[in-house]
Amino acid sequence: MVLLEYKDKDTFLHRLSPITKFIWLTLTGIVLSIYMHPLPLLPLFILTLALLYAVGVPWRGWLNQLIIVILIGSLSFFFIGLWVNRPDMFVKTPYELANQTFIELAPQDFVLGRIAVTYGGLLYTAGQSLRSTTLLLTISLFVFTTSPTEIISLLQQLRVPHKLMFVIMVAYRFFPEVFRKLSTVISAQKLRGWEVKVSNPLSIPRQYFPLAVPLLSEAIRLSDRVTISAESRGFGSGVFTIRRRLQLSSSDYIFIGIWIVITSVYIGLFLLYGLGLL
Amino acid sequence: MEDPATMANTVLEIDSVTFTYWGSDEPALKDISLSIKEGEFVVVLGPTGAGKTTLLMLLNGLIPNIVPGELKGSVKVYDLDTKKHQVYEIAKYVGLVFEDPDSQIVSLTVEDDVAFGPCCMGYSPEEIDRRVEYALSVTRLKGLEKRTTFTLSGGQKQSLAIASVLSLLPSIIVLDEPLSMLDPIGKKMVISILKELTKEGKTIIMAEQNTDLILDMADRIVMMNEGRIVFDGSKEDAVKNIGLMNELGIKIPARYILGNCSIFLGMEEDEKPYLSTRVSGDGYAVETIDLVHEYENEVVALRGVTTKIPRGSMTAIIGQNGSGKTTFAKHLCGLLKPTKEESKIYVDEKPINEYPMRELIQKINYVFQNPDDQIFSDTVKQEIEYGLKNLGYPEDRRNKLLSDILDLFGLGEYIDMNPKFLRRGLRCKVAIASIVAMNPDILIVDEPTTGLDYKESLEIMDLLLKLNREENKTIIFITHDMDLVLRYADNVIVFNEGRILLEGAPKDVFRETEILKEAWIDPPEIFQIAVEQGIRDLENIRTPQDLCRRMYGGGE
Repeated sequence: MVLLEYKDKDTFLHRLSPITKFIWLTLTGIVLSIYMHPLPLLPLFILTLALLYAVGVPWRGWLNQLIIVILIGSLSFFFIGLWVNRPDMFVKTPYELANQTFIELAPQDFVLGRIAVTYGGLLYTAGQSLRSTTLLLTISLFVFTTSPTEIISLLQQLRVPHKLMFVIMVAYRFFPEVFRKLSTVISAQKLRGWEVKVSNPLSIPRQYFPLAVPLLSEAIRLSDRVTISAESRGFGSGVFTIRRRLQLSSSDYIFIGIWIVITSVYIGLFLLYGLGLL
Repeated sequence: MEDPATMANTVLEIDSVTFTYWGSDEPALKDISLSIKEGEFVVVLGPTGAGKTTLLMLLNGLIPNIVPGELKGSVKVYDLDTKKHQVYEIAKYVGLVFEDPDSQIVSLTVEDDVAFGPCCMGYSPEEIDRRVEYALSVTRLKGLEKRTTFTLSGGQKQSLAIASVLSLLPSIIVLDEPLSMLDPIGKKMVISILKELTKEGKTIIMAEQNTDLILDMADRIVMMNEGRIVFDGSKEDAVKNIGLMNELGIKIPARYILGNCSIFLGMEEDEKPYLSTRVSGDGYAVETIDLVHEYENEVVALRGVTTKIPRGSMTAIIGQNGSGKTTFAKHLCGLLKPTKEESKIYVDEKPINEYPMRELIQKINYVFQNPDDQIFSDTVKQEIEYGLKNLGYPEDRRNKLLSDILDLFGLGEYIDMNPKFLRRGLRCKVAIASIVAMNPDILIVDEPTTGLDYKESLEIMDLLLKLNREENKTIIFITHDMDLVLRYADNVIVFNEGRILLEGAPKDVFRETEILKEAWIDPPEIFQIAVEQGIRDLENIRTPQDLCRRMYGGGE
């Protein structure tokens, strides 16, 4: 998946310590978790886009996947938004405006409650879509600029239990292998005339058996082998040395400083003026 | 406590060990006793299923600590009883390397993987750095510290697997067929590391099928069969037991055969059609013109390949991993498309893009290297029938084809068995049978003998030869085994860096030793001896028996 792939480049974000990027990710997450209204989220979204532009992400590949994810997300939020029409859901938006109805699908006494396309519901859909898109882009940017080895070092520094860390490391290590294997299995079965027939939807899961069984067998074999290999190299002794301590440079401190200021402004405006509430 | 490594000359002591895997009725090892001295290089030989891997897993305590089963008898590493000590304790003394390098590498960079063991032991960062430095230098991986592990070649990956156990500074290195999945350059890389370790005085215990590469290095040979040790002695004594080696299906290097030709010529061997009948039909099964392929990651795998493969031939494709062999083969059956518009592929003298996929797979088909990539059914019968059902064959025709294929491949007795639980040699047969059932005129087989013992390899190759001679199929096989090329091929294509380096009959290709060096390929030993002995009709020297007959049994 192009959206969640690391690319070895020499940009200012690549050069930053993973600790710095983790702090940036966490601060952005905090802002996104409290802001519901789309308008104040726009600057953050634009700032994230600017960072993406600065590190030179492969837009063509990204956009293909991004559009699909955003569409699915927005449709889901729109669906939920059909029920966002109670007065207690709106603090800053006048209820008369929030309740302005474009299409009424079911009245108040309907068993599932009132279902309608309202101004408030659309506002909710826009806010949620912008939050989730910004979060997705921030995570993608983090993964794009942080090598898996740096992520493992970061986890070590964060004192994640080494058994859990091992699982994450192995997952990172074998993900490409599993995809390669899937591609081989598909080719092998295609050469025996395998294809998915959609005429009977109930039989579709069964039609994937020729792919699933070899893939599953390989996954089990691989996990056995990896366990044996790791145990043979001393894994399980109960101790684990953290080999490299991550260091922060002056640019790390500057970047962290900037994001602390941005986050403080957002939190301050939220606390003082209720900015970000619907 | 005194370091056990300094305490005794005997480093490993296996005493009356019988081991039965959990869920099995039959013991995998039966009353095994073995004592190994410090600094010995012990080679363990035997057919698949003899118990070699089980024996090796005893040595670092994986059995009984991790692999479940019933263990009788005792195994001592120095003075550590493996029943009473955990694997991580024994790992300081015994390093274990397996055949598949991919599944042994757990980290994302070379350096991290080598450091993994010492990190698990809790050594200080400075000590870890020292150990990493040492292991990388012995395995000649210096300079690759930051490389991501999945970008390494097969040989580099196996070197890394060795480096990763070396960083624990074990005095005993145990290797389970470490050469079996490597190309010639990878094998040379690992052999040179083993020589280095021997110089350092490490004790090495190694199971291997590539006897021609390792027999000279061995101090001692242990032969196993059906869970028992059937021979334990010097290599000089081992090669005097050619009868036993032959019975166990162990490949006897040509240089050892020559001194024992009288024994060898006395052995019975089935009549093989390849000795006399070399046939090729008219025309070409496959033709490619200026075939170019560039992958999405910008790696150019084929750089203008133009060739013709004669109809009815046994064509071998050889070359290092990454030389373009598999990419080339995948183009021939439509799995990949050329990335240059002018590239042309003809199958049976018709452009490949004029074949619908269903028609193409009945004209040319491909068996993948690993049979487990395709096997999914619950019985051998269902597995072979799968392609036929997809092609819409009626039941009576399917049954007839199934019966023919079972006879041809000798799979009748396994028809209702689950193919996933058969031994690898049989799984390979099932995989090939399921493709042959669709009756393609041209069959491409990718490294059909990987992971098989010598006897099984010959069985598979004999089957392909039978298909070629009796069913008139064109067989294209990719291999790293030059003995098989000499024995079975009548046409060879040598790939190097996405181009064809050489092509022609084996006798002509193998004479070009200087050009072959560019692809890191050595001609087979039999061929080299025949050339040294001044034998002229080299096309008739394909097997050790041919060589013996020519030299001692009349002929030239």
